[in-house]
Amino acid sequence: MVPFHFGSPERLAFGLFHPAAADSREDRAVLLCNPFGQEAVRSHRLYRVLAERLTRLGLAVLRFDYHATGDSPGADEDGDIEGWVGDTRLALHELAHRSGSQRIVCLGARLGAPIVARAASGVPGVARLVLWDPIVQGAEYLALLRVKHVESLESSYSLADPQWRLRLADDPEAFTDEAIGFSLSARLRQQIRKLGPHNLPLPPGIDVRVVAHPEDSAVATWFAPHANNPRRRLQPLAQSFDWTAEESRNSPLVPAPALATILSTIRD
Amino acid sequence: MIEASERIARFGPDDHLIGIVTRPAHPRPDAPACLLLNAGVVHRIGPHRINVKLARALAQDGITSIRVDLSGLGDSAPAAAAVHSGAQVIADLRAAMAYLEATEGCRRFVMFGLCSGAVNAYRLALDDARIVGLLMFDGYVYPTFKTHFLRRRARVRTLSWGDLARKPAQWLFRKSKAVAEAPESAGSNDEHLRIPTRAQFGQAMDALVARGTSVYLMYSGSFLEGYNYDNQLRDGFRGAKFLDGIRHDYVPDIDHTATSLPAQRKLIAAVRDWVQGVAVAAGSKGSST
Repeated sequence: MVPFHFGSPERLAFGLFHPAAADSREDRAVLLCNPFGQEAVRSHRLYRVLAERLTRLGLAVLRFDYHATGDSPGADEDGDIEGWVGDTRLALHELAHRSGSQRIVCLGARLGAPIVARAASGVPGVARLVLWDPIVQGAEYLALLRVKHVESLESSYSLADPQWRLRLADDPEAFTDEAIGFSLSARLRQQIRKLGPHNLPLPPGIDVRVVAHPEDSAVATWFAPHANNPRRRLQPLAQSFDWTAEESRNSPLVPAPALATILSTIRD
Repeated sequence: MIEASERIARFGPDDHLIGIVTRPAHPRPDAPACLLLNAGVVHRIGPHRINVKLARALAQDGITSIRVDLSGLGDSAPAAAAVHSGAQVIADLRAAMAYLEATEGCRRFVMFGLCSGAVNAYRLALDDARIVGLLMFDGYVYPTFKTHFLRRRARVRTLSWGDLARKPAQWLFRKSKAVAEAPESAGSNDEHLRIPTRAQFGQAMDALVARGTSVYLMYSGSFLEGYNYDNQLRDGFRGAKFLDGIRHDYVPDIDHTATSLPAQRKLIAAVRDWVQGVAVAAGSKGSST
């Protein structure tokens, strides 16, 4: 594993390159794109395990933190989707350069899904997108983050403040500028709110695999027009991942069914 | 834009450990460097990225820091040698200090540890005189009679009259299994992981204070069962020598992982204030880092 920084001096990102096993005959490499905020912290372990499994199977992997997230420079408030799309394009170039691979598979989980779908459009060498529990309705996602933020407060403090629930119900502006420990700037909220099936096109010429809970109606609706396209496939995954939970909560950080499904969806 | 630079550190046997060094643009002479530890299984950025935010805030005060992944955590590889995890933690943190000494000339250190990080920091501080400052956020707790009384009173206040009618009185007054019924020296066979008894903890604090180590114990609003009022420490260790030599605060508006942004700001401000105090003391002694 090789940690490094990439990008311009004004906009650096932190990356971790996992070279493929030495005897690999694979010509594919894999880019892992993070979700947002607590979901990214939560999935760090899973991404590491996934990367190590893939390298043993002969695929080089790049993990990275978008600017203003994780170990990358920048404060939470500096994060925005357009910038993260640009970071992802740079990461694609880095991976191609470091691995020498001609074909790249990208995994984007949650908010990472619309980001990588945009970033991969028109980039030569991207062979497949794997979109895991993709955010396809930005407004619904923001609403979910508000609820999960209050739930996090309630579970973390010994004595929950009843006002939190009241404010959540009565004040639509309450708990909108932060989400489970991370700042949500007005600009980022606006960008997320705009996300919807109408502006989440799947890039032409690239295989797309969508992994989602079978009862995720938002994803089902968004995917319906693509159902007959042989280059698009919806892979149900009932036991997925508890994206927003704190690490200390009693749910698995690396659930075996999710790991197995994502591995096979990347490789098949 | 922070007035600092960050670089990736590989250190330890076979460079199996990873960390990020945050170096201020204008390092403060004689100031100790800060070690930022893993909290539970969260990788080096800390819960809600608190270690990153803290590192950059400390850099504004001229303080160098390193946030590290211990062996097997985050992006660090497991250790090759088979030793108890507690001993491995000590070895890992000493490797981080050796790295900072070799690359930045740092010879004195302060540590910020949250939850399991607090426990690890405590163990190293007792073992290594280069640690001149120890901040334990939600470390060991020693409840008093008043703690139990306040816990029960607080719980009762959250109940409706209907709840009170349904709950048997025994429920309200039973002991907390997590705290009151646990043996004080519970733990594993790994000596490093045993919970110190009240007497052992008091002796440890006495030793640190006698050595001149600055100790700051912070307790959040997440442990009603264990620590729930100002000066609980003073009640729990009545008459102990160390009490006038350390700083301790109950901060009920900060939760265990600093979830809200106001809680993060308050925690970071408190840590900065404390580290600056340690740096001033180190400077007045003519110490060099």
